[in-house]
Amino acid sequence: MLKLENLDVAIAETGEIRLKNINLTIKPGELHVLMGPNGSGKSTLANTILGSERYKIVRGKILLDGEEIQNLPPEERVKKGIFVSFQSPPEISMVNYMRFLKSVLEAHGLDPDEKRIKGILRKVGLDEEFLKRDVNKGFSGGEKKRAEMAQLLLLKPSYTVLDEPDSGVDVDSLKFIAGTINEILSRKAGVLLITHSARILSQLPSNFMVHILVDGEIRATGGPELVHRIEKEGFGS
Amino acid sequence: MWNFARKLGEQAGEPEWLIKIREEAESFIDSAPFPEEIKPVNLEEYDPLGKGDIELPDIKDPRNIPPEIRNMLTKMGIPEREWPLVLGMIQVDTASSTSSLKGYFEKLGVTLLPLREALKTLDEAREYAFKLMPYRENKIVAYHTAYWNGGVFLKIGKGVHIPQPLHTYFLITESKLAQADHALFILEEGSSATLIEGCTAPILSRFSAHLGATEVYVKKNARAKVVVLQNWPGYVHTRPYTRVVVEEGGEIEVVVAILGTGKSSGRYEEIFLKGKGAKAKVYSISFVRGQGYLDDVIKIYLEAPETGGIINTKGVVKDSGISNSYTSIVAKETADNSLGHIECTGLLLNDGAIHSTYPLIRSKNRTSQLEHEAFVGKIEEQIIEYMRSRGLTEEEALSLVLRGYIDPVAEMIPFEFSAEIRKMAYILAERGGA
Repeated sequence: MLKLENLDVAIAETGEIRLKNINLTIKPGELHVLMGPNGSGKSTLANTILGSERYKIVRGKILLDGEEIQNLPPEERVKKGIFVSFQSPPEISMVNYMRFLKSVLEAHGLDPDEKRIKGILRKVGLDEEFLKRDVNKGFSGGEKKRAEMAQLLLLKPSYTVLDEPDSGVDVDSLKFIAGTINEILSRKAGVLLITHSARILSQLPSNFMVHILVDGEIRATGGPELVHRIEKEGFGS
Repeated sequence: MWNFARKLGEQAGEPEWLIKIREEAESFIDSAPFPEEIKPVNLEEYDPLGKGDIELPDIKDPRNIPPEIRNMLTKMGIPEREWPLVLGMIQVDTASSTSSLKGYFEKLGVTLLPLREALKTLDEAREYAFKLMPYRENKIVAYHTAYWNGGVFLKIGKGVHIPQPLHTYFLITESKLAQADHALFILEEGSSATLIEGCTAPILSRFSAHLGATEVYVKKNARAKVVVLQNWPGYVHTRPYTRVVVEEGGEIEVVVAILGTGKSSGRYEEIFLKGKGAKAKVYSISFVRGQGYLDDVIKIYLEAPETGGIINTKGVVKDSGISNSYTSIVAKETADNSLGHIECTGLLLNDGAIHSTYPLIRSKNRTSQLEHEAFVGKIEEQIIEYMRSRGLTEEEALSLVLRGYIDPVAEMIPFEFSAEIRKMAYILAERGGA
């Protein structure tokens, strides 16, 4: 169980509070959808779970199966099974993608098997030629997001936070991304999906929870019907 | 006021013509300026006849090795029993080691001798030695030419191809003990060879200043690859000077790896492409850390039609290190359809580190095409954070980026040394460093 408990989060540099009193519990196999207008703090929440040094938890806890992890660095959190995908993953010149993936697998104590890496890349619709390139370098928006899905499948985390995996991608990429989410849910991973639009939700199981984030606070929590209300009325109400 | 040249030459039993060259150069030490790119050293502090101004520890007991060097050797994974050897403290008997090697090389078509001996016995050594050294215009070269001591003469015979790299540094052991060693390399027509100068392990030095020099002649259609490796201990100032001439159809590729700059290092390399179609490529990777200081000067002169030059320098700077990369390609009036490309990049690992690039291209021929690009920056925080979010520690992330940066150059260096250059990436990636 991944639990955010009474979280207040500030920007580390300025001390400006961006998230207030966040409470959220994700159980194995559950899909939670986080929606909210631009600037409401959605990415801040993803970065907080990631362990980004740009943000500071001023109050509250993050609990993974009862263990407090809010003071762990990002690399320890992902090794404990919490994976956060980036909205716009950076391009890393000079680092070959295959070498990067192998180093990541080694860091997790996993076998850096090239065959498995190639197989998983194919699964998200990426040619193995991508492995010869630098990390994310020259990848299109959709290719970057699919590459994130490939890493997710390689590492098999227990909990996953996906920061707008569906933004700016074409229909094909969306299909691969939704397929990945379905696969990890079926393996009983917990998923927090941050999204702008309802587009991807039609391709996912319908028994998800929705949380509406406005001005750094969760203003509403409910079932899929909340999405329809938001689509009609907007976030204002 | 400088008056050591004659004494030095006579002590070594040198012929009069050679002593004359020393004296001539000596008379210019005061008036000649330092090359403008290079940080001056106070040469008056050094005794050209002395055994050195540094008292070396007795390192048969590894506990006497200075901690910074111990640390470095450990991190490079060099077994403790080999430390005295790599530190240059065990002398192989020069005479016997060269005489047994001599026969071996003669069979291959290679002439290899201590330079002083070559100057006594070989016409071609006399013909070429010190001809490329501009001691009238340059204080470092004037000092070197007046007081050079030790060094190697290496000639690859006409049409001879040597597949395995030749480690000139280990062949003539007196070179590594001298303050101003002089190397003379001649690649005869149609020959090819790879020469390795220096060593990646740190060398304990008796001198706190080193002013070595190298002359290279690449004859018609010959191919030379020269790998320069340097790792100086923290108390040393070095000002190595190299001049290369390439004749028609000849090619030289120079790969430089500077793992340790000592207190300060000022490398000066000039390549003259004199024959039609001559080519030069220079790749350099340098690591400057602690209080280290580096001036890396690389100049290529395109003097004939269809000549081509490439310069690619990479610098990694950490702590309060300072690194300056001066590169230039000049096309003369006679260089029809010549090409030149300069690419200089630098990576800063922390605030306070400084890397400067000064690329210069100058053409006096309208058919010549010259270009340059430069970039200096640090590794973005977002990149490190991204890699950490996938399970790499900050140090692992940094060293992966560093390896990617240095690998294109490391791959050009024979494996036994490139492995150590790659290890340097891990050492630099550590917080606080070595």
